Amino acid sequence: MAAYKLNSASEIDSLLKQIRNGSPVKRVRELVGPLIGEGFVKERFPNISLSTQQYGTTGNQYDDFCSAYLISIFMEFLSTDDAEIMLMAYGFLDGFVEKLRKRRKKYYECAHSYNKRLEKKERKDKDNLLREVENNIIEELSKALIEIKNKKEEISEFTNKVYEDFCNDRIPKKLSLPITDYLDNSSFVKDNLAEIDADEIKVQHYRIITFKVSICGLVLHNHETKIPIDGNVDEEDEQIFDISKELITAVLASIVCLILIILVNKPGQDSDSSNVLIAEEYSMEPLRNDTLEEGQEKQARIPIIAPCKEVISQGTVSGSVEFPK
Amino acid sequence: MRLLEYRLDLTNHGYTVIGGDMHYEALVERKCQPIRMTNMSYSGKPTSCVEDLVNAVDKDWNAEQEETDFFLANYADVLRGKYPEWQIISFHVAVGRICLDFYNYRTKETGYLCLSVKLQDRIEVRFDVPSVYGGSDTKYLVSFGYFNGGQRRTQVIEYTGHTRREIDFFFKDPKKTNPFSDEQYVEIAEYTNL
Repeated sequence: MAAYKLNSASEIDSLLKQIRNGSPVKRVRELVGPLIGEGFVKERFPNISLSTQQYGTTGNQYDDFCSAYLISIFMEFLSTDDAEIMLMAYGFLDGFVEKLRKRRKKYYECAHSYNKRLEKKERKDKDNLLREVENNIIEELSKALIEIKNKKEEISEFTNKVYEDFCNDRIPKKLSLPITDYLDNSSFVKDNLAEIDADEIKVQHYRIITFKVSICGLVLHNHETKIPIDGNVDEEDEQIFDISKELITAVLASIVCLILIILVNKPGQDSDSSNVLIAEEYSMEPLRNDTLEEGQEKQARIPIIAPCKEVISQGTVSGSVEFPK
Repeated sequence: MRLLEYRLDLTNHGYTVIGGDMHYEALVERKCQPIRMTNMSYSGKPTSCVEDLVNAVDKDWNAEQEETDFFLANYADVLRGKYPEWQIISFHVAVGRICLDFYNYRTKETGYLCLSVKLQDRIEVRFDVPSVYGGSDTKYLVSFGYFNGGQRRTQVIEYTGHTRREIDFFFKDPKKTNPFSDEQYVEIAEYTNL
């Protein structure tokens, strides 16, 4: 078997295509070994030699690591759409156990409606269509990999991160469709966010929350209305902003607590006044310095920017709110 | 002359010829040598007209794809030889169909298209494939369509060294006739001058 040093993008391109053909799991070490370097292998997998093809007990663990490494490469250096295609091609998608030709057809049926690489592409020969798409991705990935391979600090940092994730079972052996579910709960989430189109980031929605003051305290009513700035709600938006009731409950509970704290810590306020100062310290512009009289209702429009996880955790609503899993 | 007849089940891509020593999944286009394609006959009559091949192309893509894909927008002129940088590097034969893989050695782009028997009565195409290890080209005569007595047939005749191999393609189940997904087999008659 040829020994690869992987000194150029074309070598990586060629090797990735060879690995795809047949049983990727058995050959992926040919790619990973030269990327991570002999020193790392000797240190972490002392019973493995890169120059020989050993498949022993420790070898299985090393092969598992190599598979995890390849999965991480796809997740780290490719867009979600491209990563999903590559996971399918290399046999890392759950439920795609057929041979490559059938996997491609099956994946096309599942994903051509949402995967941008496949959208509007119609050929009778789905196998050839997918192969062509994969080859284009492999070419781009090879260029990215040779660049990072030549930057020793970056490849070392990436390798250590993958090793840590691998040791803590944070990298699944197979991912389920759509892989965005995995991304939402993984350390790759920031990279994923970075890939979202700028236009998508700018989309803002408002969630209308109605506040009402009653004699016995503050009662909150949540109308759970989501209104995008442009006024149009499409299916995709509805999916993106489908925050669960638990989240809303958590948000509202936080607001209630904070408002109560504010009220308690306002020594100069006239206790006989029926007016209540609401949300002075928060970014809910419609309620800033606003007051409610007893029995009166006010609506707060809380901006929610997709994807919600980052923005909410930055304190638009409250830092203590956890995004529901 | 020895005659040997046998039958083989086709798996995966079945019958593929590549202008290089590599598997089609591991195809490195730039390492392939160009394959020459010649139209030999149309409807049983000798011809060299490439327009028959252009008409036989199964246009299985949409207009939107043509807007972004040079090859799909210009496939006819590619077949006519107006863009010599586009070369055939591989072909694949199935029942009633020849699929051609193209590579542009300047832009590194790829493209593929299929010739369909449904669009022409009968076509006979010759491929000259450079030998990977030197020596003379290997010749493949691929014909499909309606032959004598109205029988529909797809056949490849290979000429290599002292051997001529006649390969006929069939669907395993006559009711399942999708060349891209349904099972096929070949019957081979091999003539060898030992």
